[in-house]
Amino acid sequence: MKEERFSVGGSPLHRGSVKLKLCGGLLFIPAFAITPSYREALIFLFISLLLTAIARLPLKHVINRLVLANFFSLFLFITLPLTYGGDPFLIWGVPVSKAGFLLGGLIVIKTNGILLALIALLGTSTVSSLGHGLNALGVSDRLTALLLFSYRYIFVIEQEFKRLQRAAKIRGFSPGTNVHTYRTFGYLIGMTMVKSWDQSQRIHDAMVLRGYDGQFFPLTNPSNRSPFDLILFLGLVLASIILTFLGYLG
Amino acid sequence: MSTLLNLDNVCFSYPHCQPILNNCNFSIGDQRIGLIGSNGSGKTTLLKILVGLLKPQQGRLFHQGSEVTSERDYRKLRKNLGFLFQNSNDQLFSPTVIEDIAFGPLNMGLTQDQARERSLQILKKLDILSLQDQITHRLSGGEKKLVALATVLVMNPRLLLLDEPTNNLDPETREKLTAILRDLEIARIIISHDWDFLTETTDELYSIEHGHLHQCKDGHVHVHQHVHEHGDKPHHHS
Ligand SMILES: Nc1ncnc2c1ncn2[C@@H]1O[C@H](COP(=O)(O)OP(=O)(O)OP(=O)(O)O)[C@@H](O)[C@H]1O
Ligand SMILES: [Mg+2]
Repeated sequence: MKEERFSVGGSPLHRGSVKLKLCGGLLFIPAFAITPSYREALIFLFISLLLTAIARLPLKHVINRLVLANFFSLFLFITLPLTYGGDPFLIWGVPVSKAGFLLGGLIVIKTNGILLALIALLGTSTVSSLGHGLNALGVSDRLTALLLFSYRYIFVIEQEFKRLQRAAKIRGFSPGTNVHTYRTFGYLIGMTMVKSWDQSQRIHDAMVLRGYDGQFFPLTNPSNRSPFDLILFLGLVLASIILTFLGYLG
Repeated sequence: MSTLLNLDNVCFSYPHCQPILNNCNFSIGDQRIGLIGSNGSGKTTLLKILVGLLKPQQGRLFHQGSEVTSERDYRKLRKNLGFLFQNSNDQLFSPTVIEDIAFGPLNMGLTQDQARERSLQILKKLDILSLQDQITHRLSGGEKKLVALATVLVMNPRLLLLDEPTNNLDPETREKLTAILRDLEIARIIISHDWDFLTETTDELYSIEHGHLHQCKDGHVHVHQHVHEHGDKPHHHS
């Protein structure tokens, strides 16, 4: 399971205010996603690259992430020109749709750009501070608690499953395509679910013992907003608005 | 000595099972009690009844002299008790250490600043201040145990209920926990199979057998390091 690999670092984006990063990102990413033209998409991509550079993220890991996402967009990039309508031209005797080709390219640019922006803006905060950021922006206490709990226990549940899987392996279990395998995996998954349920009961007990009665009061971080945060936020807002207008009008 | 908790003829059994507690009588004020018993004898169950996570099917539970019946009574009772679970993963549910420790104080109505202040104090007291911003699920087992203890101590309980606290601890962390508990002036019931640990952190010893609690007489029993017929069992010398 992926841990919060990008959340440690000393860049201004790591230290920045989560609330402003979230707000900026919530505007920037949809604006990037809906832009219809190449010119604006390339400028958006440039801004994303700039953000990645500011965040000083480990290049190797960023590229790993991008490669993963590009398997999907590569598939679109290959199939779209072959299936999209419009006037075709020939490559090695195969009719290829020009509109499909252009659309595929735009999708590749947007996928990578948006992913970079996501990593640079949101990946640089821990899930816990993102949760509190969302809470501060008006997401309900209940949803915030749900997000934080899911994040906290997904690792425990994964460990639990792996432990059971290891136990099965030690006793000579090797998966194949047969009923025994399906039944064993059924047991493993069922057992993991039962244990998670039990654990959730015990966690609830622990919370009740410490005075929980249905209302959740998270400890919030004292916010420390720097001029950089404001500049970043305003920059993202302005860029999003201007580029969206240019994309649709220009 | 005033009695904090009192069990009066309590019976308890899980559905379709043998009774775990059978007309059990017990009271504790400010003693430091060690609790022993074989696996499955009902030690954890007893603690859960004392904090009201399980309700006795027969008999009564008293808190400071008055019977505990309503949920409000239980809430008042729980404010005085600090229960350390066998498995720390059940106890640490917040993303970061400081948030987890502040959870209780915030529920008690403290402000953000007061809760943070108090949490930091307790971390300092347990000498784990450096863990404050760590992600809870990445802590080692020993660190988790100490942080879990901090989440309990920050509530200023009058009685600690500790369920096998030294399980899976390395000698160093075990030493640290021993020293902390030895120096704390809080009444306690400690479940443990670790004799040396119990000798250092408690004064009286109770054992649970066939649904009854007995006090082992003559203060603390002890074990020997040398080979001995009863070396791994509690015994008295004449
Ligand atoms: N939720 C439950 N439902 C049914 N039976 C249970 C439940 N919890 C515990 N038991 C049974 O009750 C008995 C006492 O359990 P308990 O956990 O109190 O024992 P214990 O003395 O703490 O044992 P250990 O030393 O192993 O921790 C055991 O036989 C156990 O199987
Ligand atoms: Mg137990």
